[in-house]
Amino acid sequence: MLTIRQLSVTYADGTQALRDINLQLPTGMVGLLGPNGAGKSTLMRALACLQPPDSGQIEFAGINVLHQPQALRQQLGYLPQHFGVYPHMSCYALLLHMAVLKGIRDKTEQKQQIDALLQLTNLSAVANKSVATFSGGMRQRFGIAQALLGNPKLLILDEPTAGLDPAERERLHALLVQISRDKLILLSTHIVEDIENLCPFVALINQGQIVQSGAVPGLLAPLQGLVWQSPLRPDNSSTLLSASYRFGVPTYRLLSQLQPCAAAVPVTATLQDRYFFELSDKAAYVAA
Amino acid sequence: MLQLNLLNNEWRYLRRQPLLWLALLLLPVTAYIFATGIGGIDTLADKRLQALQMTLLMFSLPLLCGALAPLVLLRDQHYSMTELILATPLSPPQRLFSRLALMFVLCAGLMLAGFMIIYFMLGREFGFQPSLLAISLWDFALLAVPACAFYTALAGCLAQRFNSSVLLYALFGCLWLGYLILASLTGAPMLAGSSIRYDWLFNAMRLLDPFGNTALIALYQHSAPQLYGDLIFYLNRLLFCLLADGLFFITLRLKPHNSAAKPWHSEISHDTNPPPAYQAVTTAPKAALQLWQLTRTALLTLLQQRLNQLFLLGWVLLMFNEVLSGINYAEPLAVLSPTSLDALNRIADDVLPLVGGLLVLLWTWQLSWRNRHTAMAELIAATPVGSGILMASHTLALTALILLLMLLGALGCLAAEWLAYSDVQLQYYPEILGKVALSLWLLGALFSVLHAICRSPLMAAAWCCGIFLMKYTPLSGKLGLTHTLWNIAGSPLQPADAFWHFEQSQSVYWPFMSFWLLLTFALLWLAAQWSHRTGSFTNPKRGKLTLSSGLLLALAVYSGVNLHLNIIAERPLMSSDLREQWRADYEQRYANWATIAQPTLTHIEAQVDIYPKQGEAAFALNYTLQNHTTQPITKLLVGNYSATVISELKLSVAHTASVDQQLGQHTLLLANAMMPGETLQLHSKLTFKQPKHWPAVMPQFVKPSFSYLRGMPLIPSIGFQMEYQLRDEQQRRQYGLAPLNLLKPSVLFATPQLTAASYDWVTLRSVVSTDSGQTPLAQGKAVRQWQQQGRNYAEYHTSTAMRNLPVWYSLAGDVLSQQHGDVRLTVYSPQLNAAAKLNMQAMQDTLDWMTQHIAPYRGSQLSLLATPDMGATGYALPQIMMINHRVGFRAEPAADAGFDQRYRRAVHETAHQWFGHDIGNGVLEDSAFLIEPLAKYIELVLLEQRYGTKAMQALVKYERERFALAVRRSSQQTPALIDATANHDLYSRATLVFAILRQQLGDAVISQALRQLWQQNAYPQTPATSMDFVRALQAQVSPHQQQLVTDLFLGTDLSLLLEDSSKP
Repeated sequence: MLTIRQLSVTYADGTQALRDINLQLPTGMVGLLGPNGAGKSTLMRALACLQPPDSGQIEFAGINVLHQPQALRQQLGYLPQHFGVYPHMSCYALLLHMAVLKGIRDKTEQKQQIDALLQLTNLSAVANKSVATFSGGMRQRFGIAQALLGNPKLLILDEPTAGLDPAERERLHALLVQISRDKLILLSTHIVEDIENLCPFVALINQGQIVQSGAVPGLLAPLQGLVWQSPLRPDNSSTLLSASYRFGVPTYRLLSQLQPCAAAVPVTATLQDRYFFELSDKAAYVAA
Repeated sequence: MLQLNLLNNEWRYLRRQPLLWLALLLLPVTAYIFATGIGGIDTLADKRLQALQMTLLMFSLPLLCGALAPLVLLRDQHYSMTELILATPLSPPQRLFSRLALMFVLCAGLMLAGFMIIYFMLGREFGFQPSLLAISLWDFALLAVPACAFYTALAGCLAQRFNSSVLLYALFGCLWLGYLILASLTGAPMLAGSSIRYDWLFNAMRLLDPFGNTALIALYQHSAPQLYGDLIFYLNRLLFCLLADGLFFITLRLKPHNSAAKPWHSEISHDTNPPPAYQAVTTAPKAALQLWQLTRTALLTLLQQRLNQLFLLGWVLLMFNEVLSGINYAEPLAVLSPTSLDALNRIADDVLPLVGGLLVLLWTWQLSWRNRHTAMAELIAATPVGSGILMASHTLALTALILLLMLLGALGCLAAEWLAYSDVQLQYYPEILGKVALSLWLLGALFSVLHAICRSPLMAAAWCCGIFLMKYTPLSGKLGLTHTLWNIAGSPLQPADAFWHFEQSQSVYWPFMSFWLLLTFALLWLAAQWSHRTGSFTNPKRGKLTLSSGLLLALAVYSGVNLHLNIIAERPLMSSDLREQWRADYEQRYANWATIAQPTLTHIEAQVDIYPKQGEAAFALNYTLQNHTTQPITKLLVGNYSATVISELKLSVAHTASVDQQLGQHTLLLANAMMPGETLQLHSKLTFKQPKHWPAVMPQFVKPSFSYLRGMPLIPSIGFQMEYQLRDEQQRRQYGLAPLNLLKPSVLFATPQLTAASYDWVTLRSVVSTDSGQTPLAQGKAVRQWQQQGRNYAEYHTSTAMRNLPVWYSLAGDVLSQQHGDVRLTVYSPQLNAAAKLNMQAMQDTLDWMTQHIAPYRGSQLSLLATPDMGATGYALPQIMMINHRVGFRAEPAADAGFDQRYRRAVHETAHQWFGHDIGNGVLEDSAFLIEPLAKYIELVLLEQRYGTKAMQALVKYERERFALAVRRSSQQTPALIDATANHDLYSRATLVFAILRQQLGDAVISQALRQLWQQNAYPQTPATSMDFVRALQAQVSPHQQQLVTDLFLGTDLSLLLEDSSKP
């Protein structure tokens, strides 16, 4: 549905934010996973026609995005990582404002969809309150609602669950899964769990380059049978994927052909393992 | 040590802020611009220096503090650093103190730099005297330092209290504007047109002026001004030091205002039900709907802002106050029966465009950067809204705001009219306010273009402020940019008046506005393509010109070039620089003709056909030239100083001719020399065409309801014209001309001597024609009037010679005519009212008194014309006088006026038939004293004769007040009255001098001296000089009185004049 070819973006200060990105993304939910500063938001902004690339091509559902930005915008729902709101405008009024800009012309449709979206995002009770006075989570839900206005075929959601409480997060997940059947939802986050929960297709980005992309099972397959979990860090040639704590006790996830130590038990590989694997010194492991 | 570290820390932040560097650049540039163009041999350098430093302080300090305050004091809030900063162990007072201290140091440092630049500029002109440096340092210590401390502490207090940068900008903008208004009401010499409107306000400001300027200005009215202040000044500075301390301590005690409302939290609900299904709806973006929605939201957002609501309320009150305070003002001590035109003229040319322009500047900023400021830019830019629609919505919202401004302005104005019992004429409102609105809209659209193209808000704001300053301040003039197109988004349209409405300049409006409209639309079109979509986003199309934009821009440029060519074709010497260059070239090429014998013009036969509707006047002139010299004349220099070309020039004798096209000078070589006493005829033709791209200006214009064609310098003159020479020594140096080394009349004519000066007088016969329904008029007696081919003709002859200043008119309106002795007196005015009769009375009284006491009037006809409002209130030519319709025919004495300005002015202009057009001409070096001061003397005599002593004393009081103010404003050394050329000397000081002389010597003595002058120096004898009058007067009086005469005419001590003898 979305094809990106040789996309590169360089900022005015010389920072090369994206380098020769090539991606082919299918319909459904796609996770864009990468550490801070990897280029996720730049890629999102480039896809939303807010950041013109130095070179490359973007094609969405037959539209040459760089040549026809307006055509893309007509099918776009966009939630940036940070956004603000106009002062003195109620949630309903601001949604109505965005609805008109997005091209919902029929007043009945405007009302119906806004009411539905308010309900979906659990904002009906505060529909007439000024958005400027909303808490972070409420404002984020407003952002999601505005992104869903109309009938977007491409939804770009940059950190959509930031600030949401667990219940709202689940609610959002359910909503996204529900609507992703005929849309491409590009979800950018560094919360691996969100992507694991939602996205059948993932692209890993690091230092402005796509390091891996594909269906999640395919990404995990190479690691299956090689991931170990241990309360101790072995002093051998195994690769440390992550070191975390659970109830204050250290837990190490290790990548190794053999059992790294006696305390290590084999575990199922997760997307997080793959993510840390891609960030780690992969070359050293491969060589080893 | 800690404080030093903190200061250093603050500086580390501040030195990285572009706004600071902008201030560091702009303030010295402002100081430089203020200090350019000063000089002159009679300038009081120290007074000038102090006045300039005061000007810099009052103009720049509030703006500087207003700009820096949010940057220094509200940065934590702006950049969401408040909680981080508050969590540090530094106490709030320490933090606040370090920030205020740095702001104070910056302001004071910049002021010191500005003061030093002014000192340097003056030093280059007058020498780097230690006394000037001492004044600069004293000004800095006593004027700048307390003011900087006060404004810094005030900024701290306001920032702490309101926590809003917009409010700080607005408050400091209001403080700046408010002070300028107060300064103009208290006679600040730096502001053109200011005067002391209320004594109580002036006295209060001596103590309450935050800059200490008023207290110093109060000491300027002595010929040797006291620059180092008096007790009141020191009290004032002490007061503001204490106020600064007080505000600082209040600031420390104030708790920061937290305007943020408590955020809303939705109630936590654990709704386990599945969410309702998402229903997509079809979208089909429609530009009109998007435009309406964006415009509506933008408009509502702006109007919901408390600041804008305050501005709009203030706007109504400002317009109301401005109109009501002067709706019936005609001139000092005279009032009008006001109409809507007077009401609208109070605001339409200054307050409305200036304050409106400021609001447009603010609103375009708010509209253009609103999405970025509210962080909505990405959301909006990602919607399918075209950049053109975004731009159009800003422009439409701006249009609505400007229309709202005009509506509110009209309401304020109408309310004031209603209270002032004005004759409401609603038809003027849309016409006048519409013109202001269009200019504001064009300006706002240009600002919007800059905001849409510049990705940096600071850069866009700098461009917009630059345009604003070029348009509304004298900056463009100071930079030598005098082209009328520097009035960006405007036209040289002049205010309408009751005489002829917009006739003076109606023709200029659409040519200029069409160009600006075309340019603005072209730029809007371009900006829509280059726009950063309100969020500083990179636009790949930026810098690339599409065919449509290119064509539109090309069309705009073509229109601009065409307009420019028309402007210079109609007035090639459009700027003072060009006129100076012409004069310099003229002198360089033709000064040698000053020693070449030339014939004297003795008689003019003029056929002048005026076509008011077409804006043309055709001249056919026959000159009789006579060789009055003792040498044969072989060549003639004939030319004019006008854009009108002499189309035909021929002599009655054989000759060859060459033309200097650039300077419009013709050299005629005679085949046979013109021997002494011989005469010849010179025939010439020219056609004056009224410029359509310039407003009508004196001394020649042809308009449908009034045409005025003064001969000089339009019609050909003979020989080298000394009066065209540049007389300013600085300018002469600049153009490489030798210094004139002009001596002052008191020196040049200190002893009786025979001068080479002679009268330039002629006889005149004119046949004037004009459209039917109008009166053709010229000097002399009307000997014949007739109609021919639907036109009115009249023939005029002067019975005796008159000063060579011929003039021709075409007039509409009523005529009041009376035979008074041998003279026919006529008043031409749109309406014959009581004022016309009063003017007639003044002419009769003057004629009688002058005939009885000095000399008879030479002509057989004397006319007084009501003229449109074009600057001068009165102007006299031989046998014809012009008085401004507004002050001379519409005005009436104010309730508190002790005398009637109309009568006074008519007497004054009539007196010029003797003082100016009888004696007082012929001596180029001495062309001031025998004209205006003596006409002022006649005012005193005739006011007393007709209205009594009290009226005369009221005039003296009025002139004393005017003079005191002018002395405060002047930075020139006081000259002897005989040598003076400044208006306040020629009019006000002369009145005071003659009031004393009348009291001490009596009118009989002065009249006797004047009679003696006429006997010895009247035409055709040798022209009189001012020293001849002084000597004649001294010959009539005792030695003690002689000293008084010397002191008053030749002395420079003003204390006697400024003393009010009526006070105990």
